[in-house]
Amino acid sequence: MKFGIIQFPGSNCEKDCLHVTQEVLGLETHLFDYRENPNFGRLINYLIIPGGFSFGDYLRPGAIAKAANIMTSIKDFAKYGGFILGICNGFQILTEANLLPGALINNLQNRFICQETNLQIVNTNTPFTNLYNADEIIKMPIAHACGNYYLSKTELKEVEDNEQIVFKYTSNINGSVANIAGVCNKQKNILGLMPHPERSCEKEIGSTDGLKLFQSLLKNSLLEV
Amino acid sequence: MNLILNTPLTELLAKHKITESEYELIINLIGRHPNEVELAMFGVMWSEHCAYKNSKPLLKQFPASSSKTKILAGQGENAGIIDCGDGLRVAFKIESHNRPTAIEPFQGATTGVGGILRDILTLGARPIAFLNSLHFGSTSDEHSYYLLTNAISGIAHYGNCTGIPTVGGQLICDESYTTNPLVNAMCVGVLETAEPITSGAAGIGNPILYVGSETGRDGLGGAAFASSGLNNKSTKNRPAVQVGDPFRGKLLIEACLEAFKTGFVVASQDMGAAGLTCACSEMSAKGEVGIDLDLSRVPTRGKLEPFEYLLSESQERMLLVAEKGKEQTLIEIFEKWNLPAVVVGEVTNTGLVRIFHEGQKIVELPPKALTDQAPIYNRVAVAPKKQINILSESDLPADKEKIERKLLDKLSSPEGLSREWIYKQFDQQVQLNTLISPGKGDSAMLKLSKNSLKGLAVVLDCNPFYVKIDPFLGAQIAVAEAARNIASTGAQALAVTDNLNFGNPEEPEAFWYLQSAVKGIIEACTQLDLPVVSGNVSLYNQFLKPDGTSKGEILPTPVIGMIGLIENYQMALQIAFREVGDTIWLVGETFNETDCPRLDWNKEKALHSFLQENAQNGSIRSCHDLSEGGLLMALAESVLISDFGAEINLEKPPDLKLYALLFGESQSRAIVTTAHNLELKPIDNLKVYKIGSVIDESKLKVCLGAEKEIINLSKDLLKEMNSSNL
Repeated sequence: MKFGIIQFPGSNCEKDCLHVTQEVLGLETHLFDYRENPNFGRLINYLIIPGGFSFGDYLRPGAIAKAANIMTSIKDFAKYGGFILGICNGFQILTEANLLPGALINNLQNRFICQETNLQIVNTNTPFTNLYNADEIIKMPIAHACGNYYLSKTELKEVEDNEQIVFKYTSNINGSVANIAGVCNKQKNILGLMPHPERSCEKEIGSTDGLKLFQSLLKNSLLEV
Repeated sequence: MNLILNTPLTELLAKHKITESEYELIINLIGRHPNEVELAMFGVMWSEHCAYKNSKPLLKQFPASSSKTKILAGQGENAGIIDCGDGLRVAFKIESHNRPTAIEPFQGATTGVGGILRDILTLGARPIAFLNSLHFGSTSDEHSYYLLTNAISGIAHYGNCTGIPTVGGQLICDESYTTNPLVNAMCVGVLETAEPITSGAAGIGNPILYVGSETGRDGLGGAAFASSGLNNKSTKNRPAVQVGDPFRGKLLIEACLEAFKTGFVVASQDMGAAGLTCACSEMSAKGEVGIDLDLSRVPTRGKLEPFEYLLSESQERMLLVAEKGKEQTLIEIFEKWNLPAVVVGEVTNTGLVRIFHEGQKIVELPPKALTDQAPIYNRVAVAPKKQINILSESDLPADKEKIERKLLDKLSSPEGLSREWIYKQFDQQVQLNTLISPGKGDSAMLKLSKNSLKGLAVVLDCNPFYVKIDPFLGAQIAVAEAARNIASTGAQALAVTDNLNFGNPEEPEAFWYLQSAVKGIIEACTQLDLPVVSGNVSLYNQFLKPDGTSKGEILPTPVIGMIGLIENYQMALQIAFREVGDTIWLVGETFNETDCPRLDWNKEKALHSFLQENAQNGSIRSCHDLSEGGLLMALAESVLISDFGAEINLEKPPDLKLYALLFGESQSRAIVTTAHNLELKPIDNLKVYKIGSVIDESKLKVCLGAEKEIINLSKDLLKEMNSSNL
């Protein structure tokens, strides 16, 4: 079981994710530079697009990253059914690249918000959440200025009908439509969420509620690499 | 090379803020008249900001060593470095960005954070935390509100984007800061190189690398601007405010650390105040070698005049001395991180800083003339005739309604309001080291390594109101309280960095405040056996009238930054109560104090060892020190952060004023909790009182004597009053 983590210029959670996959979970993990063009399907089982400010968030968060070389490899991996987890800026990149529905706009408060949030697990029938209990409330911190998730009414109905909503905040924390904190694609192999699961894997620095997300993933693998 | 004579000398001197006698000194030092470019370099290098010419005689009295702290780098270096054992070496320093914030708060605060970051980075350390001390006018004043909220956004912008958590700080609001707010930022880093990278250039023939952002016209003469008073034309100085780019800042961190780890970097200096001028003269002076620099090779944004290259304070730039022959390896590292890296000069045996532009030598100066030989002024100190007691409070009747009102007023006052609205804007957890985040402990705590149980306590503190009343005492209290904040987590204080924010040193009364506060810091550090390993001075801070004339000085504000260590962070203490039924204790004595409190060092030190020892042996389960608002404020804050409530029974000695008991700010006190069956024993100089217990109801209940209830307030109401709508 191998993890891959993408490093864009301005990513700042790649080392945190690496710590969790490598040290906490004990799994082999590779960092990939945004200029590379790897065949992920042959190299790794799971891919993380970490948080941070890729390319300084200039233009819009994720707007420049989506044009990076490595996005071709990411899209191929997605098509192939590879598991992709986008956290915070990673989520923003995935929506910009149209690998996930919706868009992330400025928080309602027009400020950066960093705080612990309560999340409701809306869908346990995904590769990312199969170890959680239905409607379980978990704690995970958020840290973003641009996490206000927007979907049109039609799109909302569509993601609801396809059971793509994975996490919801228990209160409206940043203006997100239907309190959505995380969504997956129709095929359920790509998850994007604004809260930071990698920050909730060790008791001494917070909750350990994020661990089950990574552990759920380990139960799903396309092939041995 | 002679002075350009088409501008009268007096005008030139005024432009570069050099006095006539300083000009005489320059001629003596270099044996000729300087040309205008050289004069401009003296102007910035001899500013208070770079040369500490008004404060050096005071600063050199700070204790530089301690029996309990292993110092790897101290005063005079880019930052202090402390050896925390197990190969963990911590660099930390504080810096101010007051003047820029006054006229352009977002960029002013942003670049303040960026500047202190590079002071830490340049040593070979990865920045792991920021703290900030903010002093602004009243938030009900529209302009102060604009300045404060934009400064906070600026601080958040740089820290969040570079992926460095901001874990602590303070906000003090007072009218005197209205036109001259203070933004002091502290950065803490952990060394990643085998040895600290020095700033002294070495190795004749070694190439000098310019790395980072291109040089532009921003921040021209910022150091000189920062060393003069503001006036109503100061907004004209907006171009003297630098523009920060935290994206580039983040790339610079990664690129520099990677470059440093090759072992091919001989010396490194960030370009902060006075930019290229300061970096090359300090590297040359410290290394006692010459430096030749060719401005034509410096990457720029647009065409610049020679003096603009030399005075620009464009951000995210560093100057490195590379090992000869290895420069290409380093350049490739920076290019990988999309940062320009260019050889712009070399180390020479001339002992001179020589600067060339388009083939012409435009500067030739002995570097020490710019640095170590800057003039020093022993200013006159005169104590003010009239001391104003700005904190005096009248006593309270034992009336429930009045006492509850008083507590709620304090909780909702600008001083008492929760700071959550501020620290919520800062990423507090990135890097996964934050053990105690803002608001949860009296100081923040960080892991120093993923493989170590050592916890680093960090705090910034200053109560300028005490300093205004009595600077010698107030400064001691600032140090004592910072150390108490650290002890309240169970950690032991190790070292100090200070930021002295004061008024015009040429005014004897203002200088007296500075001098007395420095004496206070020295006394406190001597008492606690703490070294001052780095620091910063910001003078000429004044409260201006609308017409631009001075209305007086700011509150004297010696901000104290401190680090401390706990060997096992699993034993660290936080504020929140842990279990229902636990006993609540008041540790320390309460005096009849309704104004500025006194300080008894024996009691203070006894409290610190009591807390450290009982944290270590696990007797104490939570701790919150008593500070502004005294006992009731500390209890209310503890209830606010806990899942439980508190029921308290107080005994009032007949001669103690009720106000002093409930809200008095007697020093050297804390409330702690223990398991219900555990008895805490007093030690020499320290009394302990069992005052109540943790209850399963979300409220604060306080009785006086056996049954007279004086407080019964729900946590919801406390929270509502304490929450800020900002």
